[in-house]
Amino acid sequence: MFYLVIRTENLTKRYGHRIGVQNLTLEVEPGEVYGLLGGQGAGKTTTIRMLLDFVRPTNGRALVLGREAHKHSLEIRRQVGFLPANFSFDPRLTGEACLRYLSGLRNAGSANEILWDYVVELSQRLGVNLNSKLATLSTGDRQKIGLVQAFMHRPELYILDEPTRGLDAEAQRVFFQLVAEARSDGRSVFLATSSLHDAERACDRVAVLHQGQLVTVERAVRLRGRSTRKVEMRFASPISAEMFCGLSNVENVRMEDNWISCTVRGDPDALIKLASQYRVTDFISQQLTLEEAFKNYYGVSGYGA
Amino acid sequence: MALSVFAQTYNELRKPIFYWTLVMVGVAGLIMLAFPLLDGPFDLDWLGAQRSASFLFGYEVGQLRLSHLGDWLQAVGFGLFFPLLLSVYASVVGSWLVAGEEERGSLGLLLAAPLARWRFMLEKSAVLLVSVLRPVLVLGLILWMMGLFGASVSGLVNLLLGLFLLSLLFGALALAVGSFRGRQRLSLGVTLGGLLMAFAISRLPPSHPVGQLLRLLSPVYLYEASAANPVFLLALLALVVICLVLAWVGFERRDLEV
Repeated sequence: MFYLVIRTENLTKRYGHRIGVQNLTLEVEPGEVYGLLGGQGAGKTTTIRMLLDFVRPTNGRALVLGREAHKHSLEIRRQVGFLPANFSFDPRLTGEACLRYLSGLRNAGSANEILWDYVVELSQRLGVNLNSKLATLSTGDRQKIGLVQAFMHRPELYILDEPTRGLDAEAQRVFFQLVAEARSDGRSVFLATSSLHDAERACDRVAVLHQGQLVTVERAVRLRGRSTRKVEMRFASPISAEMFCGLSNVENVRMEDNWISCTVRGDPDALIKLASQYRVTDFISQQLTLEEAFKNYYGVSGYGA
Repeated sequence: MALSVFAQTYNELRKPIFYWTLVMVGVAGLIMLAFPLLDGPFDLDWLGAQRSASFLFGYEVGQLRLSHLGDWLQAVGFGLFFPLLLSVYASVVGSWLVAGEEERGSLGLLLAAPLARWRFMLEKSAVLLVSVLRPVLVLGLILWMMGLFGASVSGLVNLLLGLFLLSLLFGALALAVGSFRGRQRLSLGVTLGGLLMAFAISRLPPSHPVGQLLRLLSPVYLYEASAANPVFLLALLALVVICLVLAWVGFERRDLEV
């Protein structure tokens, strides 16, 4: 039977006069990596809390794995791996004790017991020592323990809130690999992030949230296609600005002797090929901040304010 | 071995329970040590009949003979120090069990597992019960072995049961406030405020026109009265059950900040 992995219908949460989420309608398909992109206060965490029945909606409803989120929360949570935005646990426990405790809670009454070998394998891939107490671990290492506990029971659906927060580059690479593996196994990932890079890199589709409201849902490939980056290059000798201005996806070109800065929309291939005709002594490429991107792409500003 | 919420929480509380048990036993020891020092220079029976003694140790003190070690311990220990200390301890534990878990951010991870809220609350309540029961049992065992309460243990059991239910009540109240609001300090503050008020009301003189009625509202009075009339234990038990049900209802219905 086909069902949407997540379906929200006019989901609304108000905290007094403050809006957490308003009229949010989303559909996540099986096997999809779905991003929820937004700044602080956009409503990402509130949405996740409603999906897991930690918070009850003021209006609307949420269906997870074809079931109503509140009525069937136990069955839903059995098949969901969750990483909260701030992974925090009893700091006196070691990583192993923490994971054994959480896996014990999951194993109770479950037909599919968590295999400890898989827990160890995940920990090794992410590069975290399970024998250290949580209090002595760095934020990044604690986040890795959080990821292990979210992935260890191979759930149908992963709900991950800011999963790359605090992770080093290698751990991020492994995380994206785990997400790709989950997708290739037909599992779904719902990923809330304030990182444009994460959304572009991992997701199939991205819902953009701003101040509790859905701005748009678009394919990540489109997001990547029009992603804009600021590029600065320094050359060994003076170069001609006209050449760079002629490129269709290059804008805001500024030049000074042998230094150039510009913004590039989408694929930077043409720019790099052109620059490679000269001797490049320095190259800096920066993605737009989320606020800049929101303003450029969707015409909304003031997020997180 | 798979750990339940009960086992894990109890593990975390092992040391505090041990230290509070030591404190209770230590306080009992100090009270007994003070007896020979005071029994000579002062007429303890006369002191016990004074109004100030009633204010400190409750109005049941008038029926005791403080020149006997057992009665002295009952008045000073069970009349003031044991219920006060154990209720404070139970309030700290009760406020920590759910609100503390929520404040430190681990509640979301626990409830992300297929664990119903009622089950979580049941296991936390069981931890509260055991945490209060253990110091009471150890204290009772030591007092029984010392033979201070005569050949019949029923009087001691009655006192211990009252002490257990009173402390459990304040622990359950802290649990309930913590479950409703998710704030540990608020829960502890409200409960300790309630404890002080309960003590103050229980000390209203029986001759006071409103005092007689008001005292019935104080769990501390119910506890003191239960020493003579075990029916009051049922009233304490009913209050404990009400607080635990409120804790469950509050936790079940509330939005969790996890």
